[in-house]
Amino acid sequence: MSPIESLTDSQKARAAEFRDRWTEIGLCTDPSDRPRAEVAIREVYRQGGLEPPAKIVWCGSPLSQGLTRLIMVVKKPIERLWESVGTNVRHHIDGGSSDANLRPSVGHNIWQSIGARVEDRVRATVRNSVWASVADSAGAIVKDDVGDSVWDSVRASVGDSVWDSVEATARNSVCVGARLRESVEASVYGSHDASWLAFYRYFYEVLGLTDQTGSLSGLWELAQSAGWALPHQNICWVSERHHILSRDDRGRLHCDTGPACAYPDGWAIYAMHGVRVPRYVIEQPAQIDVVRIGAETNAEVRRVMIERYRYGEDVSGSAAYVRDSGAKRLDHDERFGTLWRRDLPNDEPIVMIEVINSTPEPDGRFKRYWLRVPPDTKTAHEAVAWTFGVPAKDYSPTVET
Amino acid sequence: MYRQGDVLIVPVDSVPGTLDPIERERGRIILAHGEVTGHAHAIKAESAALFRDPKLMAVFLTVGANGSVALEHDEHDTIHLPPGNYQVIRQREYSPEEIRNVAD
Repeated sequence: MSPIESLTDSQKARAAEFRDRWTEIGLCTDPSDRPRAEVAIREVYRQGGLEPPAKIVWCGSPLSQGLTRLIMVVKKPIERLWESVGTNVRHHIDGGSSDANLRPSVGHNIWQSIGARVEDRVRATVRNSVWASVADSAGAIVKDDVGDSVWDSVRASVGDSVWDSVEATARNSVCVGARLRESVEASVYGSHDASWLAFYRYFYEVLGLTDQTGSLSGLWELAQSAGWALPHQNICWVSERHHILSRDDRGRLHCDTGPACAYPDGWAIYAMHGVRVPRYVIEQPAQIDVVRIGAETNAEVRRVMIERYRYGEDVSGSAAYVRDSGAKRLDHDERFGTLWRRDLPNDEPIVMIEVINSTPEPDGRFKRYWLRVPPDTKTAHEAVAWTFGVPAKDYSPTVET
Repeated sequence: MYRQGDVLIVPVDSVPGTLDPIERERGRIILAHGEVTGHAHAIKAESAALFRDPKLMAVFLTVGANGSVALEHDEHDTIHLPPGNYQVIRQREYSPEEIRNVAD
């Protein structure tokens, strides 16, 4: 068969359909279809040239999945870790995991014998231009939506959560942390594999490359029925899908009232516009104070904390932070207000103009408010002029109410 | 130059040639809606008209020659605008640049 040189218009037109269908698969929040997933897992093993696992163990999230494996792999810190994991995780680990003779992970074998071979075969069949065109139109957008926004966060949070959980037993946590990361690396990502699976599914359905890509059928099925899986030689752990997923209009994990991503066992990720933050920042913003903001070394997390500071009060966010944190007074002008600056490590300073309404409130008081201006602003006059987009020399209202 | 709260009204010599009229709302022209309170900066007088310049993304106000018009707002004192052409500027706030991860 001669290589496929280019795509026809009708073939190109179908890329969107794959993009949409597989994005939906990747973001799915339905409960797993366990019978379908178990058939798929056995199929994945067979297609990888392996004996199907004797035991399939369901877990409530990628975290509890990684932890159950860890408990079987690492003997020593188990007791304390087990205590620190929390009951919600423990209760959701179905089935026994008493298999003492745990065999090694086979995630790598599966990738080598299925994924890499499919890539070789498809690449041998289509020209680079076709490969790139399908990758761009069918795969890339699914990757943005599912991969970058969700999978990355889940992956990073599995690591972070364990650090939190085992903080008390910090001496063992180096080992635990590394082992857990290992289980993240060894996972098959189920529905979160949607981007590269969409890509090959297109070759399968639209270009008819069934021989080259048919060995992915187990993974295609698994992606449509469950979350992450952790395949080992005679046992496979498999996780439920997230049941809560909330994103902003740019597809980033985002929820300002609760978890942005959560799993049925209670494990949750809190995030604002893709920035993962501790739970209290979202659910108990009253706990955010100037000291905690000052101690936060990650500039993105600190911005979210400042934005959520004094949440719900008349003066909140950066205005309240500038007011409360001992900001430097840069300038004061009776006509225009007071200019404040608060420096932040690894971030641009917050510069704000504090102004007083010209018209009194019904109770006779004058309302004060704060507006953020560019960090290089030097005077109160310049600051107020900037808020109206005019140079300071041209800003001089004759009547102001 | 006049300022009522978060709206600045700047006299201009003339308004651009191609403008889209902005429709009246319940008989008034609305220079700006309040974001939270719903209070608006509004003019009732028929001799005033509001336009948008789609190219400049700017808003212009004209006040006819037969007298001043009243610009009203629930929380601010009324301002009387004499006949002429104006640009209407809404107050804005600075948003910091997005933090970019160096590793990207």
